[in-house]
Amino acid sequence: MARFIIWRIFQLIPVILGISILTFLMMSFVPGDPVVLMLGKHISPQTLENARQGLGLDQPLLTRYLQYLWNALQGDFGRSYIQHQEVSQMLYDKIPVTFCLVVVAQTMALTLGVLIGVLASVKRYSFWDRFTTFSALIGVSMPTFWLGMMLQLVFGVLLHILPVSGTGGEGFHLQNYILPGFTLGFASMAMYAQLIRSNMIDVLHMDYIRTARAKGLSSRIVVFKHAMRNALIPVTTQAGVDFGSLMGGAILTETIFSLPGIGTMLFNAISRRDYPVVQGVTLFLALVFVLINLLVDISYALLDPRIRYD
Amino acid sequence: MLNSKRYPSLVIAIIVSAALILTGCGLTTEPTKNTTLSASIPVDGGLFRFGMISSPTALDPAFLVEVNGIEIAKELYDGLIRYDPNTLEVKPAIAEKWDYSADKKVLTFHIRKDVKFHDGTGVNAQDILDVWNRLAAKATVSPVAFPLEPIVGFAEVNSGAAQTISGLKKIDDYTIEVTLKEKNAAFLTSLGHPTVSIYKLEAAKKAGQDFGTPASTPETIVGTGAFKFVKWNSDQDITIEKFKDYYGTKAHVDQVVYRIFKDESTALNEFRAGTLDYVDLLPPGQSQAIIQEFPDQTIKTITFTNEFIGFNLSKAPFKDNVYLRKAIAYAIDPQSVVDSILSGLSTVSNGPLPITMPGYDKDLICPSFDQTKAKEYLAKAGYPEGKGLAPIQYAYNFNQTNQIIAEAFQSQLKEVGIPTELKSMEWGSYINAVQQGDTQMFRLAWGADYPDPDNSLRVLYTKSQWGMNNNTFYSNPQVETLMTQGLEENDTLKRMAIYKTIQEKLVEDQPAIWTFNTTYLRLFGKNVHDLTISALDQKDMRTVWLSK
Amino acid sequence: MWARLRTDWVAIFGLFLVLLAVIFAFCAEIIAPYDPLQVAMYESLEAPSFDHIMGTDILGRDVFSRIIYGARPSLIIGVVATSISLLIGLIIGAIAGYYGGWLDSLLMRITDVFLAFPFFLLAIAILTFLGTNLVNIFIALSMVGWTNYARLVRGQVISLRHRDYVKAARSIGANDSRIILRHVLPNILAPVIIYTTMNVGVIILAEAGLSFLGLGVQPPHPSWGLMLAEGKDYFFAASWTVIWPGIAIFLTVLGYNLLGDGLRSALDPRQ
Repeated sequence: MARFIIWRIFQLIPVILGISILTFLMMSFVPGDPVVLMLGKHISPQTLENARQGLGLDQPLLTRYLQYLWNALQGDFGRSYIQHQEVSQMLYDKIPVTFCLVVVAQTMALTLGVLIGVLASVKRYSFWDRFTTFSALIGVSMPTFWLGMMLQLVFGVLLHILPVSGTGGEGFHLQNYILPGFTLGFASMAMYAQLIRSNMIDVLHMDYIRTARAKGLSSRIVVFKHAMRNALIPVTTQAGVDFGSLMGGAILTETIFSLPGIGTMLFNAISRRDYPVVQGVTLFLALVFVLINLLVDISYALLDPRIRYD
Repeated sequence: MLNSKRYPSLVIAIIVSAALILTGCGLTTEPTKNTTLSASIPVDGGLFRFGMISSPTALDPAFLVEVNGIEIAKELYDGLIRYDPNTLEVKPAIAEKWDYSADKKVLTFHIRKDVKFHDGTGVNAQDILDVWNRLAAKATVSPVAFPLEPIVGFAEVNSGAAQTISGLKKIDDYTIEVTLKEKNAAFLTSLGHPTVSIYKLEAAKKAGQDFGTPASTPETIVGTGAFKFVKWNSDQDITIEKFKDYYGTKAHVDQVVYRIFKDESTALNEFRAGTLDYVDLLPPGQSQAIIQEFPDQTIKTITFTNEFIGFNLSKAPFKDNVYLRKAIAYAIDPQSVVDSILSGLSTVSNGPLPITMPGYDKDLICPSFDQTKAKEYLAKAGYPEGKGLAPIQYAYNFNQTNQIIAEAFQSQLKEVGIPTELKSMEWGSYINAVQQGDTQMFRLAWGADYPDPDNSLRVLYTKSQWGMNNNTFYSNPQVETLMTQGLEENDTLKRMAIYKTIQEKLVEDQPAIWTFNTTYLRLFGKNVHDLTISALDQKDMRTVWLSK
Repeated sequence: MWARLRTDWVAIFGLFLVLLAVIFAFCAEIIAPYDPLQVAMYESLEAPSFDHIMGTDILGRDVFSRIIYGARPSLIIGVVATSISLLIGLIIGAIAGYYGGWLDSLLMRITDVFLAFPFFLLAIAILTFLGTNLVNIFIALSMVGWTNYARLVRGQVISLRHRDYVKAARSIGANDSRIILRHVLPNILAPVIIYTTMNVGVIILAEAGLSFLGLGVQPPHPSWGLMLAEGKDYFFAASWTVIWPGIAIFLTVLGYNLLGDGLRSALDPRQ
């Protein structure tokens, strides 16, 4: 088992390296000169040259990459060309916003998804069952940002129940995250409902459930205590996997709801060719993504003895 | 938690805007004031809550590249001179007076003896020299060292060959002598830009690369302005407070907090909730509704920013074809865009200078919307009714407003027979393509940094800036000579006559069509008085006061 | 299969929605009441009325006509980008799954890199590097779509690799490409078809997202994503400019998803 985990961690290295190389190459091939974008309108041949040297952009690509890698290994991710702030500090400021957004989204998606899914599986072929399947498809068919705007219109502008946008200032204000959280989590909610429904149906036919029922346990206890617990495992792992991709995929939701998270930070950095920030954010997102996948794999391996550690 | 009781005005606003939409957008209400001048006597004290849209990128004077940084920095740091907040005339600040040598190339500044840094220590000539030498230094990599460029020895410092600017001399502790390479009538005015303003270099050095970032502290940002730095919460707010030992007229308010918003709607909602005294930008397309919702509480400012559609004169079809350029100038109707898309909140430009800029010629005759003339010129250009004209590429940097305006112009050009093809690009690749001369027709804007016509014209229309700021690749030897003359002429009347001729020449050659003069609508609270906003788009925090 | 599908009214509804979009796309000139490009600046943002049943946009263009014409780019992009992703995903997934070993590891790590890479960064990089036009939008969206195919196909191929008929084919000396094409691929067609149907919807949504960020179909030719993006700033004042294109995207994507779901039930041997 330990060997398996070490081997999996070892396998992460090429993925992370691959992502950093890909980002580096991509940013240097995309047209647009970071120096021009940093300097703005006051440019002369001398200021351009100074800035290029100052940022080390006069060095060959390979040198720059190795330098970056060397610094990053020591925990130095450089400074933003535009804000002059340390990239790690900027990430530290923005991550909470995206993190809160994704946590709220996933909490809502899981709670509602599990509820609907369980109901559907217990009352199979009923209205609820059809409703689940249908709503799952509706959920994945809606443009996220459109859903967000509709929610803003209804709950923010017409009913005045929830804030239209923004984080609500310092600290965490739950009411500001409800609409964006629902927007971001809607598609996942529908998928979780679908997933839990099919798992519940499988589990409810298992021997131990039949035994439990045969022992005379009430239907409610059987469903919630025995069946649900088992059906939840694949859903929670799926939610874990989704967590990573939602961190990076929240950009449209962040834009609509004016949340200063890492999605918008990345988008702005790309359009300003702020290389250190782009590098920092992609590396962070990739790290979250691969680590969560690793955790999921390991927990699978621990839970499911059929998986071989090769 | 928001609820409708606390937001009755929002309900009204929505009803009003809904009504506006149902009746079309023809309603135009003029904002009521240019300043919030008040006859009553100013009251001291209070906290001014300033709603700012998007965060400043830096408060280090050497990196003031955008408006929000300049907005706050000009309160923290004073320069040798300052602009009158209403008229933008040059007024003494740290320098109490100055005089020119006979050949107008040497400028002597006499420094006030009572100027104090925010830590209480006095300011002397050496402090100023140190700060300016740092701004010019190669290692600083400042994007805004431009005001010092005309000084002898600047280039040597900027290229790393020298440590101190040779044209900058300390005569005694309170006298500085500045030697210019050429006569330069705009130099003095340019010193009002906060990039050359004065702060305590020793303190800044303690912060190292963190100087002027959100990691700043009152110990590192030690300025000379009427306000001193308190704190900067990244992406949330920046607080400054009244400096009690300020040498000039002291501020009325005790503190100003610049609250940073990502979008205009959130800021507007906060204002409605009563948590802001002022909102810097309002949601696009809602200006008429806002003017009606808050009568007497808006200020309209026509800024020094001029938007234009540039023609790439280095290649076909615009190269050597002034008639085609004229045809396009007559074919588009910026007024219709202002009326519908911009809901009245912009000003149609008349020529290369912003309307508010000194030297602007109000009698200048520019081509304006006239389809008959457009067709005439199109025929003269060799494309009668557009025959033989391949679609012209019209490029713009992507944002919704630019895109919709481009679509509007495209349809107006089509009406006279000029085919166009839209090309939307994101800013980074766009500016690259424009500078490389890869576009045919492109949209750009230029905002002047200080109130002098030279700053709006020279970089855009002279050869030295080809591929940098002059992306039409325009060059006219006559205009180049006039530009130099304009800069060297110290007699204001004669100088403005030169700029009048330049404007006429530019309109004749039509390297660009000047479309809109950027105009903003600002919202302030009922208890806000004497808030002045200059054409430089700066809001003066020293004059503003709050009634109880 | 059709017999099964025919009785599934939900799938039929999905098919109906897809066909509706297809009809819009092919017969736009006949159905649309106005020229979708006809600007009327002083008729901007008119509420829905008898003349303009879905109102007008900021430039006074008829929203209904633009919706109908907008079906074209959405469908073309959905179908073409899905086909390209399918092709790339099939090749990579089949090779990885069939050969296994280090080749599998290598290909799957590459897939991981693409999966872990933020979608919009990739799309922005591709579209700014190559320029925004229809072909490059295909490429950008395919770059993102192929990873899922690769994983799906690889999984399926691995499960078939050790089947008797594959072993038999190998023992009689058939070469690998023949085995993959003749024996493996036909047997994984069902899940691929289901996934493909649903993927068209995913791509249409992604294109709308790109348009929203200014990287989609170039104006003035309408696409639903572009219409949403252009209506955004006027949304609270003129919600129809946003509601209708959103509904158009939603119903079309829903159509593909319902159809895919119906195909799943019809093709699934377990049911």
